[in-house]
Amino acid sequence: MKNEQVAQLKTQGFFKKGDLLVYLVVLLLCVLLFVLFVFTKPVETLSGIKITYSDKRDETVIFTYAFEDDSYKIASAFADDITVEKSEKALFVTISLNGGHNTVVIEKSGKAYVSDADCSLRCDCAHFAPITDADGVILCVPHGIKIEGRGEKTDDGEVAIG
Amino acid sequence: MKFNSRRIASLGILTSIGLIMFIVEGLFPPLLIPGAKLGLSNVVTLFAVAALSPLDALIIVIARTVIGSFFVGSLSTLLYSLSAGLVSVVCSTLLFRFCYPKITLISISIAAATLHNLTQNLVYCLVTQTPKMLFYAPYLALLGVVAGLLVGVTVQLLFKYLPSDLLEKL
Repeated sequence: MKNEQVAQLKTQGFFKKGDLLVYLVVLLLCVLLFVLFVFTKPVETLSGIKITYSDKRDETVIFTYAFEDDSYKIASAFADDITVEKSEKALFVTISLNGGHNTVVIEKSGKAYVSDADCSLRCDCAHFAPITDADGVILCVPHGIKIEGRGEKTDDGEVAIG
Repeated sequence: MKFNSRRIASLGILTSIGLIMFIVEGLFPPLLIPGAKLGLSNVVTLFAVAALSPLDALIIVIARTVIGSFFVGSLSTLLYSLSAGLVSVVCSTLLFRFCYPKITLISISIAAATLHNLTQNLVYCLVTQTPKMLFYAPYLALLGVVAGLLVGVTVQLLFKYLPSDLLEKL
């Protein structure tokens, strides 16, 4: 680096008037994103949960749950890979595929989340916001698992299992 | 600009520092939002944009994300990190070249970090074919502001306190 460049970098302050323009653009961008994806997002009541497994070529629905009648379906091809434990208030769905596992808790009050997984050190899927409406989604990319909320208006109707 | 031994050594040291930050940060749980982290390794990227050249910054980002994904990640991690890293370098370079010193490194860092996070979110949505994940975009943009502020202040302090002799030799 040239001497002048070093001197300039060493003596610069923490704020200049030009920064205001950059901050304004970033602020407008944030506001726009909130308006587009959060404030104007239609909220549809959660009526069910759909879990799909993707092996990079195909995406297969492996599990569905309906809150209305507290019933679930498991794709026959995955019957050995999915175990369901029922309690009074929740379902504990454990998916064991390719040597890994994800445990999905479906609370009958209308909430679903991943409570445990061994997909990575960070375990991102266990840190997703719980699914509480039909637009909710939780992804576990390393295991190819997608957990989605379903609503009354969901246009895929009865999900074909398996 | 030739790749002499001094330049190669500088690139190697900065890549190693960035890589260590990238790997260590990858061991901690995400910050509030799935997949989110402060991106402390961008300290090195912004430092390289200001002290070296855009090409050097690009080399550091590519080397760091490719090697880092081998240690803590997968092919998908590489896709998100690399695309976001490249967008971040381009944004920092353009602002540094055309707006600096009318603006500070802090605002350059905030703009770059915000775009970095949004690019990562967009690529994630495309790769996983899950547009619903765009719901996280505004929160990731806000986190980008915080992360950019931290990175920008750090780089500014680095320039302030590193010896002039060392900086002039870069």
